[in-house]
Amino acid sequence: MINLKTEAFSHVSYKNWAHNMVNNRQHKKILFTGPVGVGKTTAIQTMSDVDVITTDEDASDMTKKRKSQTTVTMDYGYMNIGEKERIHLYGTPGQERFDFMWDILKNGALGLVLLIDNSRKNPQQDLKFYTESFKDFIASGELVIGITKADENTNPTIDDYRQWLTKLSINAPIFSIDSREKTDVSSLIQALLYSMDPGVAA
Amino acid sequence: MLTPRNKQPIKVGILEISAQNKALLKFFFSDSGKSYFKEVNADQASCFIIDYDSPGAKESWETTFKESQKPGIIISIKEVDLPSTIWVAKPLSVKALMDASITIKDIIDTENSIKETIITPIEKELEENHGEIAEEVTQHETTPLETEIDIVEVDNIEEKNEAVEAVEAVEAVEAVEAVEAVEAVEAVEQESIQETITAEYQIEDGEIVENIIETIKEKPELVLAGTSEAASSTSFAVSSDQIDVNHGLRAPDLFLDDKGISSTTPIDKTEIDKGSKNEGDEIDSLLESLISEEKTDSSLPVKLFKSEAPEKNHNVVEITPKITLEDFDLVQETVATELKNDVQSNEEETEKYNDDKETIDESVTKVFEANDSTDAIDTLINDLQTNANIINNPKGKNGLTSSKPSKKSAEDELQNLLEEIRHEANEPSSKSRVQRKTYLPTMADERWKLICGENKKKHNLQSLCTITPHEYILSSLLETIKQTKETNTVSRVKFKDIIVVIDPSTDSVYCNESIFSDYYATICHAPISKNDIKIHQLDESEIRLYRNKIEARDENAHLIESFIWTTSLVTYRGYLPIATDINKKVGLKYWPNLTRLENMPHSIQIAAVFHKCSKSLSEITNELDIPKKYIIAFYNAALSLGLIEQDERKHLSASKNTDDKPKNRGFFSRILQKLGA
Repeated sequence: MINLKTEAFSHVSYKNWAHNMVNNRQHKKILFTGPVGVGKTTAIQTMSDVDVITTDEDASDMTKKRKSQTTVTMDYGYMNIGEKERIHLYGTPGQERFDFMWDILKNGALGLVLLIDNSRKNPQQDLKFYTESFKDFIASGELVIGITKADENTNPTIDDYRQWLTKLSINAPIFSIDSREKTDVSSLIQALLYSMDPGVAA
Repeated sequence: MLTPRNKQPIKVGILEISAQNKALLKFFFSDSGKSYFKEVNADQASCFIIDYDSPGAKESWETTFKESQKPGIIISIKEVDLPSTIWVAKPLSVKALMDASITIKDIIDTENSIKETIITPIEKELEENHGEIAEEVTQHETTPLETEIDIVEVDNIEEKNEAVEAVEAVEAVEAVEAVEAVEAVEAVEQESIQETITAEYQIEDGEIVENIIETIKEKPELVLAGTSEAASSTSFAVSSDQIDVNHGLRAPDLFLDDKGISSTTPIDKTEIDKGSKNEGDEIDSLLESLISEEKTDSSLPVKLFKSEAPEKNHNVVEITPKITLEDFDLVQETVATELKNDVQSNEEETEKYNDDKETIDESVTKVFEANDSTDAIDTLINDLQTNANIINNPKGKNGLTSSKPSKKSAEDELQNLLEEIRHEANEPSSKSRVQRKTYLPTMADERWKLICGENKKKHNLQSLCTITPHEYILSSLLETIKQTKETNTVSRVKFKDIIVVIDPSTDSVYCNESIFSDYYATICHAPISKNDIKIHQLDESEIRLYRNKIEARDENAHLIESFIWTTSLVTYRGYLPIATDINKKVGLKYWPNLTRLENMPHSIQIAAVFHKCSKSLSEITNELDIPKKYIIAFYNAALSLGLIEQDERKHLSASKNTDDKPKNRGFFSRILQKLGA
């Protein structure tokens, strides 16, 4: 993992820098989002063919209770598809104070992978928050949901999440995953692609 | 803010009050309130200050006021209205105390003027009478009594002096503490959130620092270390306002609770200061050596810390790192350059990696595909010969250069290697060369045959065999599961020698037989009589027994959804349930949790088709280039889970025509190949 010690930027500086980065790769990208510590960076690392570029910094607020470092701008990795093609994997920062990055990163994304941590106090609230935040994108694009840490924390169950999604009028694939397991994250991406085009054949 | 009318401070006596408020007041009296108040003993005071929330304060005030008839400043949370008193609300503030001083001064002046006008003549008369009486007494008293009185007075003076010195010493200490308390409060007010680590120590006064050092030496993981430079400048990683020590290392609260009770008592700071000067350097060096270590919460003793420690080292003091604009530009350039270089270098590396990978993959694939081990060996030999050519060619694919063995020696090595391989080929092949995966393709094929049935390419759906679900154990299991969920009980189902315990509260099922075994598949696929099935609810002791097994993550414990999925697959084995309308449009209510269910080919694509498209079974099987058996197996399992939506009106997703070729289909196809779909 390549860790750029990018010290704290100003709000505008972040936007400019990230926008420049992202504009170079507007298409063929998948966005990973979710609350702090859910496993976005890990999931990208699991799938990426190269070392993931991260922008982690020491956590300074409530985040440090969950993890000592947190993504301040984004995570970036990619998967090579053949010789010339590439699918870019972007991870949003989890903290809400960096939510301006979400708007930048979702531009041109094929789909959204939302990860929810089943060990957090209120996963339902997290689900509601992120689906609201990306409401416009979900309406036009595709969404898959991965529930992390569900193997250790069995409540709430997948059925509960299905009921909550129904209340939010969202019908998306929802799987229990371990961000470290390639098969699990791969299943999420496959579900995303097949949701976009069920007729596609491998 | 009111200002004192005259510069004479009011003599005030402090009655019942908490240690923290006392320290605050003393600090106030010694600093900004110097011109307003002067603390004196109770008998010299013109007024009193009392914390009305302290235990016994009410009675104390009543007694004092009764005896002295002097006004008071009442400090409490709730307003108190008593005669000759001023109420000051908690938390204390400088302004409130200053205003109180003005008001109490007025009250004192008023009372004094009343005494002068009314009481003085009476007192004069009494004094005169007292004087006459006193003269009579002195005439009759003997000398020893007077001597005794004189001696007592002298002793009192010495004691008094000692007491004053002691008080002054304590006041000096407490004043310092109060200053620290104010600074601590200010620091707390500035920070929005501060997670603290508190420690509980049961230690004697004056040994705090020594014990801390010893503990750190024994257990270095207790030390909080920062990763930035600021951390090293902190003399002690555990800052004074973050350790809750019963003996008052923590700064006293400035804001009291309702009862005004504080758990800490002030300590003799002077002794600590002596120790800390010498030990501080030692602690710094110790901390620096421990800064890079990462410790986990599990290594921290519960006894020493109240709340969780962070997972990794972090800087307690510094909140946000700062960067200059120049540094930012440099970082931005570095990032862009690194990415660019990464892309370029990675392209070269990945090209090389892909080449190597292809070579390896081909070799491995050929080994797997070869039916005869001799063919595999020959393939390997050919690959090695190819690689040998590369090695021998200094300007070959891998860019190897001159410092390579001579051509002749490389050929010898290759020959030796080939001889070894031929020798090995004559021996029985070891399993380890072939079995590299848990599921070999052949084993997976067998399993999929078991759960999905034979390939029914040539048969249309209508001619497929059907089974009557009620004749199989699956229907009883599904009914029992539904019942246990509704009643929230734990049930046990026994059929033949298979026992299934269903615990809906933990969403788990325990089965004494592996549900992935052929025996279980055989039992499930065979019709069973209702008499062979025994169902009963478990009592507490039985529940405890099975829950222990489930909680231990026994390999025979499964999620309910996973259990139903596999049982359904092995029951139907590619047959359709009787009376299935293959032309009826169906949908999928929810995606199954496929990552935690038994794997079968094309399950994700089939789920997407059922979910996105409102089509019939026959349409889907005709349109998708997927063997029918997998589509039917998925349908049966989803139906058993209750995920198939039979009502067309309830399909949430808009119908999509799978014939439309959206853009990026080719790209998606390549991604799916990459993902191993």
